[in-house]
Amino acid sequence: MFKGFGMACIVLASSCVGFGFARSVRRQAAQLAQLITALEFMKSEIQYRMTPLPELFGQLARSPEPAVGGMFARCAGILRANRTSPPAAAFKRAMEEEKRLVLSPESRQTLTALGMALGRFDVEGQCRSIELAQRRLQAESDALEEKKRARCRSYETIGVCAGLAIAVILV
Amino acid sequence: MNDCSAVWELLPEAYREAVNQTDMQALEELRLRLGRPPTALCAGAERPLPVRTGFGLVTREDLEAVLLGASEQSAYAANGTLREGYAVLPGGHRVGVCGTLVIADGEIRSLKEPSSVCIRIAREVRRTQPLPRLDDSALIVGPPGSGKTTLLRDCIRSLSDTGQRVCVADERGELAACLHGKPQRDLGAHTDVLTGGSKAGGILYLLRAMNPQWIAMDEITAPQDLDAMDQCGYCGVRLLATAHAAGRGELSKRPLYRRLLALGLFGQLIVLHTDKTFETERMS
Repeated sequence: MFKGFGMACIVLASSCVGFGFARSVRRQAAQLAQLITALEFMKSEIQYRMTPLPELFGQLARSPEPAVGGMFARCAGILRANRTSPPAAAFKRAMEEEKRLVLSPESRQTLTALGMALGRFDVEGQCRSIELAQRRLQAESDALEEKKRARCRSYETIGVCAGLAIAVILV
Repeated sequence: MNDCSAVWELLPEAYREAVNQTDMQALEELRLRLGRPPTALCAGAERPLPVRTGFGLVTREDLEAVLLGASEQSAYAANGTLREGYAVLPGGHRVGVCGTLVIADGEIRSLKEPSSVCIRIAREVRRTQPLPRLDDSALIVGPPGSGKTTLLRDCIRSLSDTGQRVCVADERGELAACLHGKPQRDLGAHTDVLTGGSKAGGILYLLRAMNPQWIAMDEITAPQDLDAMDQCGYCGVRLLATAHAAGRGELSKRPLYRRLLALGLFGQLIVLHTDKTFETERMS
């Protein structure tokens, strides 16, 4: 009875880990897609309305993806709290503080580079920096989407199988 | 004096402390020059701020922080006015900046390496003399510093508060000091403000778009301004403007203003004196 219960627990825990990894991959893809949309919005706002960054980040904080929205909300908060705070530092800090973000180091590097350019240039220069970040994130998103299904299935299968294997060995 | 919090937010802590020790009612400007002690202009005299030891000289970081804050951390958003040398803060305060201009295709593109900033504190000037009765287009003239813009602003508010529709072509943002569309200076309940662009373009835009009874503008300086005023002067719209001249005599000596007088657009001339008093004359 206890053995059976123990085996079930092991399989369940291991499966959870596998499914957790798979969910993290799906979240990463969703966050990348949302970031690309946010950058497109950012570009249009700057091009058409020249919205200042604190206000712009405030608008992007309403993003449907909680982690992406959270990051922009933090960024807006930092800039509003200190009017002389440079956007680059605010962007980097917001990215570090938003723990729900599951971006790869490459994506983070892209966003850090974008942060360095934000608020420094005229509309044209700003748009070029955003477009560059969009292209890089898009490339990463495409690569991730291509492998997403296979990777998710692998993680889930490995999770279940590893759980079963451990349970059998222990029993 | 208006709320100065937007100014304080731009200053390093040590400077804020020093500013608090000055006569706040008399404070007109704060000046930060690279490598020099910060100064305050109070009642016409510029004096060093009593900054605590170790924070005596203005650094490049101080200047860049002021500019960063004045542009709302977004150079692109303030580039239009910064290219003209200033940015508007909440409360109507203005930050003027000097440095090295970046020129492209013969035009000012941006400003790099700021060398000094001048923060002008907005203040409400209480006028003891009653405002002139405006029943026709009026031209306000006076020497620099006589208060032309302030009188113009008072006239706009007065007309507007009597229910007349006044449209303002605020080319340099000095009249209304709009921030995110909201005038930081009270121009009355029935005033519409168009900020930026040229005065000439603004006058025609307002005429087309806003059905004004009055169109107001500060500082007639270009022949194009006269052309635009000429176009709307005979459409039932009255004009309210300012010009740099000590009086009617000086007006007729400058070619641009001679042409303005010849057009006969203004029925009233308000002549300001250096002591801020004024007198009204009919122009016939």
